[in-house]
Amino acid sequence: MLEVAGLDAAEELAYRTLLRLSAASGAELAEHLGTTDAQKRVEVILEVRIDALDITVLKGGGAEVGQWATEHGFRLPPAAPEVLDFYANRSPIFLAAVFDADAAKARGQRIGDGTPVHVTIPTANPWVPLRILGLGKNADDRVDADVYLLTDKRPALLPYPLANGMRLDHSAVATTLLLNDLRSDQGMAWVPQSGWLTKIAIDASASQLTYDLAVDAKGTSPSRVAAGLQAPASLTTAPSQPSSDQIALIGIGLAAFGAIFLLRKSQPVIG
Amino acid sequence: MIIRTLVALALAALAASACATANAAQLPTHVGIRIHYSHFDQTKIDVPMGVPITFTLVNDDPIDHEWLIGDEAFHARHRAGTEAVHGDRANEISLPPFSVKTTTLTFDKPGPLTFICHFPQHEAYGMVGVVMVKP
Repeated sequence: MLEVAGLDAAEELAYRTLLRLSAASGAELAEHLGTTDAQKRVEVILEVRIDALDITVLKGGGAEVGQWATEHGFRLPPAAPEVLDFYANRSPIFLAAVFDADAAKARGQRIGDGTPVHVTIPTANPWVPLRILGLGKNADDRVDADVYLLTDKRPALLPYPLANGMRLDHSAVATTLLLNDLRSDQGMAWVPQSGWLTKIAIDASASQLTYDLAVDAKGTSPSRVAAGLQAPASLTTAPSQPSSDQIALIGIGLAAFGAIFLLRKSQPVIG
Repeated sequence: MIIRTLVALALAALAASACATANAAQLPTHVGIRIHYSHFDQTKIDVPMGVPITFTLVNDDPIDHEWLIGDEAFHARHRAGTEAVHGDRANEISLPPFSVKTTTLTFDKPGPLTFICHFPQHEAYGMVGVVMVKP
């Protein structure tokens, strides 16, 4: 099940991804909509409009998704082929986002305004893509991000966020005030009556982000594969039935194509 | 004694010449370069001068690349260039995703020439190689 809905801004969310995209036009995508080999190999699972964002959820391998993105006007950075394969070896699900500048202007959005995107992913253990945040950046560029986790009990994390650009800022029982506030937002009725709130700050250079954040909500043993510290058991066999962990990888694409999109805007094709 | 020395020098010169000829003959006239994960699989290639060299270029990536070969002045122009696609010149090859192209070049001067992909960030990412033209 995948549920995507627009939300008002919330102060703290257990799981959210915020896209901050600069001005752009999605009109150029229209000329790329012809049937191609990549489109035949890539399955479009969902297309949805959120404010000025056109969201597409895809299923396919890294090469196929990369070609689909190229053919649809995304200017992928040079690291994209390897990074797409890195994630595709863990899940065939990606999410692409295109920002429609005309729609944003019509909505009164300004540069720097964010659009919250609520993605519901059924999974036993949350999992947060971090490596993708460095895509399209130079090695020394900084990546700043805050990750909030709301779990039933204190989670176990991998890598343990004490080094390499990660910092554990908060780890405590979530207050009733916070939970009530979260629950009052649109689409957030699922927020439980009790939970554990964890905040992890990312303050790293792009070259430091060679990992993702794996979470074991039961507090035992997070997956080294999910953390990017170990390759999947089979890199060549594509899973036919996505597991809950694999579905969670949708988040990767969300961040990935956000970064990809920004690159397309900032760097014209030259040669 | 003098004659013996002259003969020795002549033989040495002949041997050196033969050796140079043999080396040039051994250098490849067909070169394959594969691009994978935005890197050339060969970054230093020796080729003979004055002989047509056929390059087979394979782009294994799902993104566009290009293979442009020339001297530093040539690359300085392309770093600030505006051509999105190349194709009219044998030393400027555009490589769409999962494509294979061939081009043939004859180098008339010895020395190094650099091949680079000038798409944004690709050179900094490491898409640089050198063809050393040998006399």
